[in-house]
Amino acid sequence: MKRKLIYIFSLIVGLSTLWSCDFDTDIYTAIDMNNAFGSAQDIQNALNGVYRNVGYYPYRGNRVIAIGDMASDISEADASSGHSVAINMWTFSDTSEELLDIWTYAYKVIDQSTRGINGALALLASENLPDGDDVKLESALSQFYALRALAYFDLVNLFGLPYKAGGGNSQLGVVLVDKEPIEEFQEVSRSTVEETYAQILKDITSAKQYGSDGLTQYYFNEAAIFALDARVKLYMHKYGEAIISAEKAIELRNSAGVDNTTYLTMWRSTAITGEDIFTLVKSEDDNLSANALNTLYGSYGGGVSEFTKTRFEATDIRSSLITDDNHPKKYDGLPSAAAVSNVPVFRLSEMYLIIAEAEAILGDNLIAAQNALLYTAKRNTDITSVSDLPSTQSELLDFIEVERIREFFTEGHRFYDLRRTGAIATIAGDAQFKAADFVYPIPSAEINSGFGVTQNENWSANLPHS
Amino acid sequence: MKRKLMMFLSLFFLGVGIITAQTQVRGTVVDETGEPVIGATIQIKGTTQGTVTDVDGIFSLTAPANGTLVISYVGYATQEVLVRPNLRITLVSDLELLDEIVVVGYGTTTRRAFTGAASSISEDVIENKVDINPIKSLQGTIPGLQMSVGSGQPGAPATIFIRGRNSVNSGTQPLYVIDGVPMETGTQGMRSSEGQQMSPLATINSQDIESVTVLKDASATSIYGARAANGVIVITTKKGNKGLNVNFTARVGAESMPSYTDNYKLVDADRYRDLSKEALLNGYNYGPEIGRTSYFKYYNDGYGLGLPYTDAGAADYMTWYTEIDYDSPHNVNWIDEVTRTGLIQNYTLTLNGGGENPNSARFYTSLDYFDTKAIIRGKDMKRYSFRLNFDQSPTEKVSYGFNSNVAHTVTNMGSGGGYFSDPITQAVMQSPLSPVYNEDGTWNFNTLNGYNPVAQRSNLGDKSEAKQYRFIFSPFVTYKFMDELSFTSRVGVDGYIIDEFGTWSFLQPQGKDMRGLGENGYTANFVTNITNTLNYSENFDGHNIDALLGQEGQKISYKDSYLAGSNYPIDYLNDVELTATPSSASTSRKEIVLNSYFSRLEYNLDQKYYLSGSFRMDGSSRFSEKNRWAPFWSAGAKYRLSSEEFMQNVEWLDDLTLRASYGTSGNQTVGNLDIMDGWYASRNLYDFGYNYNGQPGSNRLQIGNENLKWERTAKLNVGIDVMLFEFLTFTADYYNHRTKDMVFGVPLSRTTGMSSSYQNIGELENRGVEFSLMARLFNRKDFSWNVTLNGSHNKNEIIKLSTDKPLEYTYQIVEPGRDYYTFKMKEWAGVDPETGVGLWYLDEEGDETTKNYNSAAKRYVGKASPDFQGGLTNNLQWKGFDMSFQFNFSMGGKIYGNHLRYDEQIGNSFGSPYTEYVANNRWQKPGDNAKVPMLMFTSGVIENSHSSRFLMDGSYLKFRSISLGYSLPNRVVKNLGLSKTRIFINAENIYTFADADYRGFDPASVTADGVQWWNYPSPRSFVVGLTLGF
Repeated sequence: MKRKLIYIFSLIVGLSTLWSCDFDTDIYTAIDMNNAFGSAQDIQNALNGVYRNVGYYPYRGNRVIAIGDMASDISEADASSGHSVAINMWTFSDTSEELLDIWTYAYKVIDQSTRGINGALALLASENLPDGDDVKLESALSQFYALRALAYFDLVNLFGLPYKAGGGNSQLGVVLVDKEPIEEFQEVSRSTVEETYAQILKDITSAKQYGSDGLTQYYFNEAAIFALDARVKLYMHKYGEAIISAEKAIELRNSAGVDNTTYLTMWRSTAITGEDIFTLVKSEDDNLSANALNTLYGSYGGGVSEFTKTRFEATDIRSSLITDDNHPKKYDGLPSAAAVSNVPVFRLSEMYLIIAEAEAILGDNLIAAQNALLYTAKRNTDITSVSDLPSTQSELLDFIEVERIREFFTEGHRFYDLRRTGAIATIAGDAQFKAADFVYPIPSAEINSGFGVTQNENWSANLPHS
Repeated sequence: MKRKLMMFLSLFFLGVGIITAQTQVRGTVVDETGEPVIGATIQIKGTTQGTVTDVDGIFSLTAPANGTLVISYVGYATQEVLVRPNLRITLVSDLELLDEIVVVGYGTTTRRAFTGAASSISEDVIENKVDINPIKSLQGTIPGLQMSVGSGQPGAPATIFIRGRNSVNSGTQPLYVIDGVPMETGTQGMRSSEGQQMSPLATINSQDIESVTVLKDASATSIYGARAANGVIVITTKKGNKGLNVNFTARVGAESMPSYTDNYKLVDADRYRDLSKEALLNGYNYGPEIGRTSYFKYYNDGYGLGLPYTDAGAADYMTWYTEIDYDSPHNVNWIDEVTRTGLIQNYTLTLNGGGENPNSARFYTSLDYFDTKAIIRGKDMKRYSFRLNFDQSPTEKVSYGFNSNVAHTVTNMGSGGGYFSDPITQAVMQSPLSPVYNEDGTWNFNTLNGYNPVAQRSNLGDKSEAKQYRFIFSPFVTYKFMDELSFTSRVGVDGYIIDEFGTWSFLQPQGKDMRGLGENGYTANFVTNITNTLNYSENFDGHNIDALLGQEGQKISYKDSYLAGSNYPIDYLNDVELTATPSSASTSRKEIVLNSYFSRLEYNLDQKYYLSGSFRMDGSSRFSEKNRWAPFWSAGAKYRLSSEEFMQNVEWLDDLTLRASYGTSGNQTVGNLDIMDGWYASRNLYDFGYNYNGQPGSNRLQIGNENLKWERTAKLNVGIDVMLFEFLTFTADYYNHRTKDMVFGVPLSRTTGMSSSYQNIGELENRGVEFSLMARLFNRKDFSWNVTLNGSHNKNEIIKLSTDKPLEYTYQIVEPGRDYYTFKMKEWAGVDPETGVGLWYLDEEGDETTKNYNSAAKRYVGKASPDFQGGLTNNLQWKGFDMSFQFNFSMGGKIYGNHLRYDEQIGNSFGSPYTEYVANNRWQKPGDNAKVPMLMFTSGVIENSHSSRFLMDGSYLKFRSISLGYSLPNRVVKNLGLSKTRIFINAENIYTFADADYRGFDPASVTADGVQWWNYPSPRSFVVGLTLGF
């Protein structure tokens, strides 16, 4: 009996090892993190991943752009849709999804760019690099640096108070990642706005250092790097430098721009036009669908405000990009796919308007300001020469402020312009709102994670009506 | 002489005994009501010989004159009687008897011997329910089980918490074991994460289920180790019996919208016009005073409309603004338009039989067709299912068999494009002035937002069809080495395939924009399972020992594919093949392996003192080699006081038992199964698919943690069972379930590029009490009445997260020291009587209020988890009639009406309809103490932003179901050539009593987080049926 029991027991224990399953499960669609940056193609993949995140809806595919208009006097959200309503009505809080989206995705871009930079540098330093890979890697490096600079710039425009002319900006900026990515559970701290801008300029310099020949306007090409530089310098109130960079961007882009007909139709195509310096390309298999700006201004009922609509003369061709019921026509998509529109980052027009504004502020050469301004202003067919433009400095500046609305409505500029210039505007019914005093709260998820990022204290003290 | 006679007789009997020893027995078996029991088994004790009763409950057989007969029948206590020529045996229902079989892990035991905490329901409870998902019959019947059903969609899943939510980032759902095999029950499919879900459990025919047992404490669950932390639900299907029993059941009925509060009904066209005008004129008259811009004036001036600020001017303005004629003759109730009377049909044929010989095969088979046309247009579900259960013991040593189930369902769900285009959502957004059809009979799309939900649900409208194919096959074999020792091997194969097809049609704006979008998804999930157990059982001198040793291996393989395209040439054919523009194509594959070894030992002395213990080792591929294996154990004891000598005199006390158990169980479901982390949680991964400009792109996917290990829940349970006066049964349990090493997605600084990393860092506790009280009020031949009341209280508390900092969302918070489902939001302080605008409490504490929404602080305003919930069930029987009805209740939980921010618009989405609640409670003039602010079409209407204005008491009492049946008397039935005839009526979701300020369809149809959206309400259903036995 005892022996029999032992036999049975041994037999079953023996068999049970056969019946058990093998623990080494296969993984089919992902790789180990350590194998992610082993070749030039890996670097290229990582770079495309960064572009995708820049163009994804939580970042520049929707949020950053939507805030530029919905938080200003340009656009109005439809309350019944729920989309961008909290931003538009200023009822958001530090737990709002829009802010967390931007914070999260901008840092995904920064982290991945930093890893890409390190990966590319390591490959460049390796001995047996296949022929031709060095060019690819250098181009990737340039783009990583430029994309990272853009991400810092977007972040500081939302979560830091504006850059004050003359430097010494000790107000809180954002967390900076330079050489090494931030590892999990690492303590971090916010830099100052001065330091953030220094990092942005440093990254722009690095981007310029590496060659990026042959890139189309779907990528962060050399002209786009100068365009970013021009915009950053404008925000830093370094007008002379802004002019130089804007001119360089125009030179590198080497385009005469677009005629009026193309200007009105280019929004329904994803092809590159003479206007584009850098645009985030979308396609049918890479569209943002319900999260696209197209949907925000489409089925979700968002529109431009009466204020925006009434900024145009009847002879301005751009007014026909707004329908009678205030629908903007910049994100109507392709004829075959209404949710597919590119999201422009830098257009030629912006460079001219940067030159115009910078020259007007400097005041030494108002003719240069007028000349630059004419590039966009002539879209009002009544304006054909500089003589049709204002001639005094203050009139010019007033004109340029409105011209930027006419040119860039729903492209996400206005809110950031208001912060930059310190202008007063009617926002959420508050006619005395000064956006320059306002800074968005750091998302509570970041603060509560407890790794050292501090809140913008009293951010809520400068909301409209307060 | 007398002595001689005695001797003679003795010799005679002895002689008979030696020569024949047999006597002819004829008997009748009846139940407590005196009705014959058909098919009861009569077995001669100690032999394999026996028979079954016929349709009159009569049996006859030849048995040893001094023998004993064992009479048994499912649902009744087995009886033993001495052989006599004529017998009348009354079987007693074993509903609450101590010998009730309790299904436990890897076997069964009796209620008497069971040291754990478990509750079960039997087939009659399940059969009387109408829902296609059989698991929903657990609602209100099991103490400590909280069920949340967020949607009335046929086949929609139910979220079940047994003794509260037990985890934050790991699985929260119980393990389901069907006939000894763990089954896949998670929702899958291409839009599952967007709430278009169907439950794999809806592939099971409720008529096939014999019992459902819910295992709760450590003693009951630890044997399932790594998958048992959330409790275990064990489903047993029917088995074959001797003879042949054929039953046919037909059920036909209707479904309608449930009765719901007038608060949430939409006002009619006249009232809509009046309220809209009021919003316009209020905005104009009061706007400047309250610092808001009147849009009426703004647009009137801006467009030079030149309208007067009067009723007439407001009317003209409405036409201009909404582009819907103010004087429209229509008065459309869009809820009525998108709903309809549903239809339920269910036909089941079951065959149950086997040879008389105990060695012959037994089978149970069923064919079932269930068709439910839902109350919302375009939504429905059909199910075809087949089951064959087979078993046989050809020799005393060997028995084998299999359980098999094949099911196919077809479900038409919501529309394409998520909740926004769902018919209920759209119905509450449309103006009563815009008709469904234009005068020429075409669809009207001149609605407020371009949607026409009726068109969208029409033939050429959106499609969202999911076909489920499921087959379960589980063969087993048992070999008895000796009386005490047997070995069982059981294999389970669960194949689950979902084939989905969806379109966004030309009849909705987003679909129209792209000339239609079509999508096709295919998901295949296979679970293979092998279990081998060795059972040892021995009784001697009052000692009873049961031992179990086992091994189990499980592999889950998953694969899905998805493709989509847009731009159809025509609107009436929509296979994806026809699209001109491909937009998506993807596939994924995943795997998980689990290996286990387990054992259990049960001992009792004189059925008075009971001890049990279990130990299990589980190894999972989810974790790295360092932490792959983990032990789980339990110990339980039970003491039957009433069996003690000193208690024997207490006549009124039939049973008094104390139980206690402690042990651990685990949770291996780490992460979200919809994405990779749910399958490969411990790995540091980088993945692809982040493409740009047609070129491949890559990104970091997840941060691995090779130290990640099992989440463990330590469960303490103390219980008491009492039975008094032979009619009152009371069971109560106190429990404390503490989850340790809780897997928590520790929030990272987003500057790392990632959001969280799984760490074993948290702790969470559920503690509570639950009870059930059953009284057999009457138990006479012609009349019986049982009442069961059950209730439970659970307190959920997060003990520890990674830091003291909470996870805070717009209106919810997850924070140590509080319930998982805690609401934190700005607290509504009512309407300012002077100005009609909203007020909020300014600070985290105190009574000071503010009109500035932004400056108001957030406050803790309650939690979604109920404090107390339960049910009351009545079963009555009078002659051939039977009736049962059930009430459910829930108290103390809150519901946040997230949709009310839109549905209770006060002018912020001008043109949209108004609810009765808004109409009846609005501020109208200075001095009004109103619940709803002034209607105003102005800028800055922030009153509809997130605040406790939309937080409601979620308590309810629901008259959940009633069923009434009549079984024809046996002699009538027999004359018809049948063995059984029952006609019945079932009604469900009859009426719900809710808080007076509740706004919504049904406080019981809300997800566990207490957040109410445009939930598709659970319907009210009414079914008539007929069961015929042949």
